[in-house]
Amino acid sequence: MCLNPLMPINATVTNIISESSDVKTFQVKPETPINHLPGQCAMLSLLGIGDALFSITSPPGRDYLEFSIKRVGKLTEALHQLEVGDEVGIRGPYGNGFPVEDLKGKNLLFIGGGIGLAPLRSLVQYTLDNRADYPGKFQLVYGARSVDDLLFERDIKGNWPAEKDFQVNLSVDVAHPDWDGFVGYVPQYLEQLSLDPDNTVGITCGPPIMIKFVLQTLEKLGFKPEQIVTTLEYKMKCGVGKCGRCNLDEHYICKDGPVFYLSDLQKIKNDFCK
Amino acid sequence: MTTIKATSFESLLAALEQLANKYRTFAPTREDGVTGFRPLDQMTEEQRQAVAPIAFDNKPTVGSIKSFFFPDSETYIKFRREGRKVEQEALEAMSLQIILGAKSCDIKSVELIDKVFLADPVDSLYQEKREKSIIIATVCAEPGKSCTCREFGVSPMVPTADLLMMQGDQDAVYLTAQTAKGNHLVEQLLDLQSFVVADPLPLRSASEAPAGQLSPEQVQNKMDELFKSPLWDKLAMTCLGCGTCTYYCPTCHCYDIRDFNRKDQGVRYRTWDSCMFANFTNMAGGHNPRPTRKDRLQNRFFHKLNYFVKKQGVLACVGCGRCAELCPVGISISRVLQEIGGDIHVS
Amino acid sequence: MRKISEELRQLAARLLQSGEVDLVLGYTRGAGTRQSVPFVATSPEEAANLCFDTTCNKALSKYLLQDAFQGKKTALVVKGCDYRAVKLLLGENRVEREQVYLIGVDCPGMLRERGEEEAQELSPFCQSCQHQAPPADEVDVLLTEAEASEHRDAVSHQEAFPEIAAIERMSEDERFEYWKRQLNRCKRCYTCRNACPVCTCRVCIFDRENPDYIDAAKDQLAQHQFYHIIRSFHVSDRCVGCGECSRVCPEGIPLHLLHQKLQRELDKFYGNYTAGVDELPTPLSHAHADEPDFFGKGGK
Repeated sequence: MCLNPLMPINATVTNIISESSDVKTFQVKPETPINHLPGQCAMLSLLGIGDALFSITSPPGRDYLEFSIKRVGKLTEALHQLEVGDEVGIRGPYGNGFPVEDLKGKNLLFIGGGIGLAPLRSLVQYTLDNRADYPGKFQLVYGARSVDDLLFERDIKGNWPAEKDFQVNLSVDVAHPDWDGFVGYVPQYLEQLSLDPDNTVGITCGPPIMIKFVLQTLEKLGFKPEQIVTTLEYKMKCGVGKCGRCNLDEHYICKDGPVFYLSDLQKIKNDFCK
Repeated sequence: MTTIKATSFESLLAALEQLANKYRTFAPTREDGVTGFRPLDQMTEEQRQAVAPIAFDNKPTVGSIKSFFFPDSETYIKFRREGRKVEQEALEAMSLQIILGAKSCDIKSVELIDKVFLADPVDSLYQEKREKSIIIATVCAEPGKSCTCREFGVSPMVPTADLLMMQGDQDAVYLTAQTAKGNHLVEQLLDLQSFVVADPLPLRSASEAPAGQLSPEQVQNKMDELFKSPLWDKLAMTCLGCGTCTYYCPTCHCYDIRDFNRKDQGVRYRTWDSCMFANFTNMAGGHNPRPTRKDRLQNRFFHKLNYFVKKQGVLACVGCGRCAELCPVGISISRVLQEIGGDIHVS
Repeated sequence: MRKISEELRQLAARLLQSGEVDLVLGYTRGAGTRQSVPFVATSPEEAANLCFDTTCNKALSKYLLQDAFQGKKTALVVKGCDYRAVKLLLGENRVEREQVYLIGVDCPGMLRERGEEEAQELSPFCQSCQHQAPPADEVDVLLTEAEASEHRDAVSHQEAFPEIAAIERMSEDERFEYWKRQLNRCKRCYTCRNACPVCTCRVCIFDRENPDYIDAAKDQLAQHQFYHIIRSFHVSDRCVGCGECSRVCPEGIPLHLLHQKLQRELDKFYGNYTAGVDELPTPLSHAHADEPDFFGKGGK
């Protein structure tokens, strides 16, 4: 008899970073290592409260996993109460992850909105760790609602702009006296950035409405559907393609996703941006 | 495989009771007018008398046998909290069980759920119950009023099961083992001496009228064509949005995972959920990819008649007729198949 | 019911043809075990499918709250009980009168659905019904049979629901066992709630995301008791006696007995009140300082 795939294992919280008023990054060490790919997810659980799927924001190859979690409901509220040394349940990794093989040798355009930077951060860090395989130009276009909602400040303002061939463009939806960058939505910003689709793959993650317009904009800017990669997020419970709620046509986002090429999504009958 | 015979249905029940320390037997009966499976050891005399007529009726019980393998609620973690530490407690082990009087359609439906729950990563909660259960099937004399099983390639007269149960003359009961598990039970029953080895009764499958069988591919294609049809809006207009079709459907297997705790102890359990409920896909942040009844109803029928075919090669329906019997507003698989029309049968 | 059905089809076709309404919500012949099912006619041609007879038991008014009916003028077929439910929707500002065209029907009573031997008997609700037809001056049209409809002598509530007295005679333990057996069959499919024409909360408390006060487990009797008793308190004073709750229950749980018993008790405390006939508010939707206190220390 095999182990129940819904059974979490223990992990210890080893560090907590407050990213904004409602987002915290938790570093956890599972009692048995979980080896993941960038873009994969894991189920975090607190017994008595519930479990939910979160994308892993740390790159593979560390002895910990990081999750950046926005406070939106009962479970995330409880997770925010955790302290270093506390235990959480964890199971995974789940999902397909970003197509890291296909991305080798390409220029990479990362496009994130809000908490959507979390899975992209895993990919950014992974490709930087393996720069020899990913020697192309990197560009991050990242937007948040307000200046205070921009996450991973140490990376987006510190580490990444300091990397060679890595351009970082930040935007906020709402103007602020201390902000001299772009004010507006990410898709609008993309149109102004004179992007070159040649040998480039655009990889996006963010709220559904942002994704919808980013995909339209990239196509307008000359990116082919095969050059556009997006993540999708539905409510998930089992993580293993069985509980039935995260399907898009016959595909289960928790298992067959959450990462899709636009060219594959275009074959789907349901409106994936709904 | 061996066939054995008892002189009466009652002697079969009595023999199964003698095995009670090893197997818990469940059989179909009636409670307040509603048919369903109950533990043999908890039946009243009246309910016990009702087992045979219901088991041999040409109609499945209201609730399907899926709940033996996929219970409506099952706890898989029990815990106790002390300070910031959480301790898990051991769960009660499950005993072996006999499901007496299952119908062809229900057995086929479990085989369809197998395709999902026994695929990698194997759902061990489900697998354990599958392995620890012996299914004794009854043969339908003819399809019942709402039954369309044969359209779905299910033979009501020849179920696939551990054992086949048939009625002979003068109340005699015949059991034919069809699997090793079934044979093992037959051996134990023979030891009890209420059974004798017999020649198997002939199956009536030969006289079965050829039924127009649905072509999964053609149904799938027809559904693809009709994805944007107003049919789904029309059906959804009168849908009540309840969970009856899904909870009573023997092939529906969506679930939720929930926690419950009081003070310092609690459980995590899995429980049936329904794709017809708005909450099913509603996210904590308020986003819902299937916000309307039409989205949900369409998804359900596409899952049965299109997505499942694409993933598993078969339709996710066994024609048991429960949706036709139970949907208060008459939205059933049969009705949908009728409405989509066209050439969807094997030629 | 030939005359009513005939007139209904003609009227519906006319209303749809002239554009006076966008939809006609009524009944059509069902397939299989459902002799009639709800039906929405959207064109004069489809109006030919409408029918009305003693099997048209579904309460249709709650569909008006669904997205698909918003911004559309709908003609709705209403029996006496259905009209009472509509009156609650109107009185509570959930539906605007101008948005609906009410086709009243003088109801002959609905047949019992469960068990074929009972097929010719009227539902207990219809046996004791005193509001077979909606008031002629409150609907847009009232359809009747050719013969001045022979109004039944409604039997008393006691006669129509003898089970209530039988349950009252049980000992406390027997009564607990009775309801335990019944409610243990509940799967919480919520058909009773969704079919109920007066269960109209915008967000049901049982649909909230992960509430602390209720558990989704289907093997916990206490949770089923909690659900059904709360629901009974929420609807018994509003009940219009359509009988749908029990009729639609796949497990045959006699839910109507809870509501009918509670209604009798409410009548004792608050005086007779008939939902959808008497003025709003309903007895349990408002409170007076001097009324009995069930839940406080002094009450029982």
